[in-house]
Amino acid sequence: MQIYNAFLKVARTRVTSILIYYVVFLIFAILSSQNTADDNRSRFEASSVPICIIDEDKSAASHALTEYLLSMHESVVLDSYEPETLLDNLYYGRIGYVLSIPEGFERALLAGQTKDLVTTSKMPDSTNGIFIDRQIDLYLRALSASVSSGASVPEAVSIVNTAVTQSPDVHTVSFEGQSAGEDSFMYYYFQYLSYVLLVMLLEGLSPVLIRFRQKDLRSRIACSSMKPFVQKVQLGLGCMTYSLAIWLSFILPSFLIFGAQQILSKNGLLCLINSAVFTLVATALTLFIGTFSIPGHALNMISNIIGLGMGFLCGVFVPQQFLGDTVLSASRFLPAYWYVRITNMLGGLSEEAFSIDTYRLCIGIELLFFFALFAMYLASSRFHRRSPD
Amino acid sequence: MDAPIVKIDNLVKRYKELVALDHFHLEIQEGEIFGLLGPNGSGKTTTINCLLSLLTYDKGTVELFGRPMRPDSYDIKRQIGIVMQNIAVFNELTVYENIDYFCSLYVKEKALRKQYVQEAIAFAGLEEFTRFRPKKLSGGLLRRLNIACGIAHKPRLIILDEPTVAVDPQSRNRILEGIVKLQEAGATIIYTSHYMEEVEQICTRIAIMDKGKNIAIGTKEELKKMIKKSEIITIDLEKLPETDRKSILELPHVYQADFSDHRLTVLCSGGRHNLLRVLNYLQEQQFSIGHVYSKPPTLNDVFLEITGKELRD
Repeated sequence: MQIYNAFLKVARTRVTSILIYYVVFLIFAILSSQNTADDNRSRFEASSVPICIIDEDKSAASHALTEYLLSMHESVVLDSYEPETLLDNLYYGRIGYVLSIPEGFERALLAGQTKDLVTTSKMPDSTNGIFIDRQIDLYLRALSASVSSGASVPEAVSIVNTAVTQSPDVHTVSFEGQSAGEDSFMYYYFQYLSYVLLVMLLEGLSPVLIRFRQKDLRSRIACSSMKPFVQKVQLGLGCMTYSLAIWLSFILPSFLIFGAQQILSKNGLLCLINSAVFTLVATALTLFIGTFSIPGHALNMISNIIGLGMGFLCGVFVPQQFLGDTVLSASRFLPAYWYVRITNMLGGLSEEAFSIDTYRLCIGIELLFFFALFAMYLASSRFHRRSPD
Repeated sequence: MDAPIVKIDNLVKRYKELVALDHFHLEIQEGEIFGLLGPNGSGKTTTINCLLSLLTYDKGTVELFGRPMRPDSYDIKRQIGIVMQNIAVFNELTVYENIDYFCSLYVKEKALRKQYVQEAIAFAGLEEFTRFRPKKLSGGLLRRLNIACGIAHKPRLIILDEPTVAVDPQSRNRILEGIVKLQEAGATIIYTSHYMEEVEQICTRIAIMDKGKNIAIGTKEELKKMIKKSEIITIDLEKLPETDRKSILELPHVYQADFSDHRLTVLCSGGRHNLLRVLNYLQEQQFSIGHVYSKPPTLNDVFLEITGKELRD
């Protein structure tokens, strides 16, 4: 096992360069999974600002404006409306906005005045204040336009209220069978695993393979009395050992993070099988890339393109549910799509309900990718061996 | 005469239009240090690669130890050690691990291998650097490591392809001394180089290659006898009239006499006391003589006379 031992010795020197991926993955996976497990993810709410309205006009128009604002913001009643008190409350953040509707507001509106109808107070450069300014401005312009066109104040209020009370259409997607919280954490872990497995194998294993393929070293080994078949078997065993070690380095911590019960549950085991099959695919891809004499910096670039490309196209980082049909159609030609489809299905992260037949289909397609990539590796390896240096 | 350890017959290797080896013949006897001398691109490395079955060839036969050499001739390969022109070691392994690894491709028995590795380390003078990685070694030490990796398994035939390229004089001498020791220990050496001084220094027989052909073969003395030139005399003079140059040209065995830049160069073919005759003539004519040099022809002169160009062109 001379080549095997040397392979592992060379591979060991690459560990530090890929360790960063390992550490970042564990931190990223845990943090992002905890964020997405938050209860707030299923609802949307527009921001509401505590406001104080001082209505000195007491007219139909001033009431309409007050009601419009309070439909979106929270009303704050103060003991005193003295300027100092208002400023104190603004300063300490108890209120975010002060609207003062002066006497004669409605009369001015009917007279066609659009500017300086009300006075406002807010903290300088307050985003919320600017936002409410805009809401008031829009409401008053609409009201003024209706009145100018001949409508009475109640009619104008009715027309404007209908127009402005339409809220944006926000859809919150909830997936059938989704189990938020601790359980989904595991699926996110396995989902992100596909990216990190791919990158770690490409960046860790390809340079070792390229090293053994280096012209002078290859010639020296070719001159030896060791048969090429034995050399290939030992190199293959080295690759398998390396890949297995990388896979186990993620699977063993998963027992600690999620507990043996969850990992050894039916869904957990299905995730394990899926990740093991994907590791085979990633290894075959690495073997194929390792047949080319790619310099280190280019290899780093290639592994990032492949890793991130598959990650974004196949739904590792963005759920497949949100990817366009064209992207999904293209991503079907990539192994990570089938891997992610399984984790989505198992974790209820998509609308697709779990079915063992679909699971088998996805695993089967991943295995087909493995065989195809392995065949490409053999062909490329043969081609490079025959081609003159 | 024993059967040759290496026999190359009528070897032709083409790279598309370029003929790298053109009906090349070679026979090497056991125990020789055989030098393959030629300029860059003359076909030395191609010869080695064909010899080792690393390259396929278009025509001809290669026999090693009396048997045809093929890519699957593992019994033959076991008896060969190769030292590549470029450093072929793993930067990720230490000096010891590198030698052990390359030795392990030939020697499976661990105890024996350990002994061989230690001997190779001692031979290359790398005792102090066994735990160093190659990147930490100087150019000369790297070359020595490269050699140690190729010879650790005690091969009968050692092929050294330009092992002293970019090496300091001290390391070069050490390497050359080591090669002679390997021969004394019973190994046959094929040594390729474009440094004629090295080849002259250590090789028992030499083949001069050019454009894929073996243009001359023999011991260095035999090669030098092949050419007209036997002695080159150089004398620094203040001046030399044309009539005197012609008179020198008429001296016995002198076939060429040139004067330029205050230097007289006289080429002689055979004969003895040529220098004395030239000096006597100059003294008789009362010329003031400066530095005087007399040297036998070099392999470069052999190459120059046969091909019309310098070895290092």
